[in-house]
Amino acid sequence: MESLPEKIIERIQKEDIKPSPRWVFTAREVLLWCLVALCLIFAAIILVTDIYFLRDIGIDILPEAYPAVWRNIIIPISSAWLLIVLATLLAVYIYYTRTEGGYRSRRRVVLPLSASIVILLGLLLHATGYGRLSHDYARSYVPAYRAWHEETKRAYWMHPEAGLLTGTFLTNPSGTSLVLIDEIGRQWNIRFASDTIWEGGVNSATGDPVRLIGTEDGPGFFVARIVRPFTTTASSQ
Amino acid sequence: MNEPQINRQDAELVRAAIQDPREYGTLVARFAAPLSRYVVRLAGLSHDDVQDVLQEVFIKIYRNLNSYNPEMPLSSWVYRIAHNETISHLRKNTARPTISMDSEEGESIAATLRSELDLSKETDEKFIAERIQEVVQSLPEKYREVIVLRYFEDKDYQEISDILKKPPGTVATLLSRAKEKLKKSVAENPAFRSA
Repeated sequence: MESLPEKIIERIQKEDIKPSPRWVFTAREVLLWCLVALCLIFAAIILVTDIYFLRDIGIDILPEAYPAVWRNIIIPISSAWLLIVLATLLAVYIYYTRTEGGYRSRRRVVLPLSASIVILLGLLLHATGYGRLSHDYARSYVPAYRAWHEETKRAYWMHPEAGLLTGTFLTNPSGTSLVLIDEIGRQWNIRFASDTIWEGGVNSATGDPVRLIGTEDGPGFFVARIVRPFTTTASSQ
Repeated sequence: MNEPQINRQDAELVRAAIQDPREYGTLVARFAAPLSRYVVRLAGLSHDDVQDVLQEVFIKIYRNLNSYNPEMPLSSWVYRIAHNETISHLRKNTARPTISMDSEEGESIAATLRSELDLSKETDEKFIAERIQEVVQSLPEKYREVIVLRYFEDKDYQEISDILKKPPGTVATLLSRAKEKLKKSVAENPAFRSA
């Protein structure tokens, strides 16, 4: 009776089975490490785009001052971004554990370490101004991103009762006031104080949309403390 | 035991098998018996099924010889492939495994498990050996596989980690939970209570 080694050798020779070449395994390993690196970079880009997104819609307006806006708009947006980052970190973990020695590391080590790399890389990209680039790229090429961004921004800024208003100037400034039409077509008489700040080179004569920070002063009246362009430009950053 | 030397020998064995298929017979001969026992313990297959699974295991090992990393003992790598192939066979056939062991090794395992599970000294080892098989086979797969590797195959944590591709810490946790479950099953088993 044929022994198992004999059977195996016979089958190998009969079916002309060959060991897969070493480069196949090396390529697989390289591919996995590339996927790990790409996922980390992608998560960092998502993070830095989120930071830019939040800054662009006006995160510098203190959430303590407008808790409802913070609760209803900012937290859901940040959660959505965070979910994408977490899903990417999960992909990092999955690819990493499939590398040669990846299975030896525990999840509770790999995930926090990956998150730390993403945060550090994100901060580095943020410091180099990459957030604006990725945000502009997403506005141009990611479906629905532009609409989502603008709708979110309008939702955030259409709270005159909370001191946030957005719209377009209808008339040129006449000394200390002008007329603005908001996003739902209401007209507002906007008054300015001597110390009102005009940010980012806002030109009321061009009819560009603007954002105002100030105080509602009765129905249809608003006192502006800060005037910002609706679309942030590089020079206004 | 000088592990690096063993790995060097393993690497030479693998290199020889890559160069000449006839040399692969040495590797097959070295692992045929332990893998056959392991497949039976893990999946409780019939003799014919074991032979079929082993053929596929050794063909798979041959195809993947170039992926062997000499930093790991060859036996762990070979067991890993056998484990995956057996589990895959088991899932395809959905059969409940039956742990089998001969009476001598059964008593030896029973002696180890007696101290691990704090079983009464009055309980007969032969009796434990007979009953322990049915208790182990009733465990969920993730616990059964660590118990089989640790107590039936006498593998250490690092080897189990390499075979199952799980972190050593996770292996320790699984083993600890498996022992708890085993202990609970033993306590609930009427056969043990009446012993």
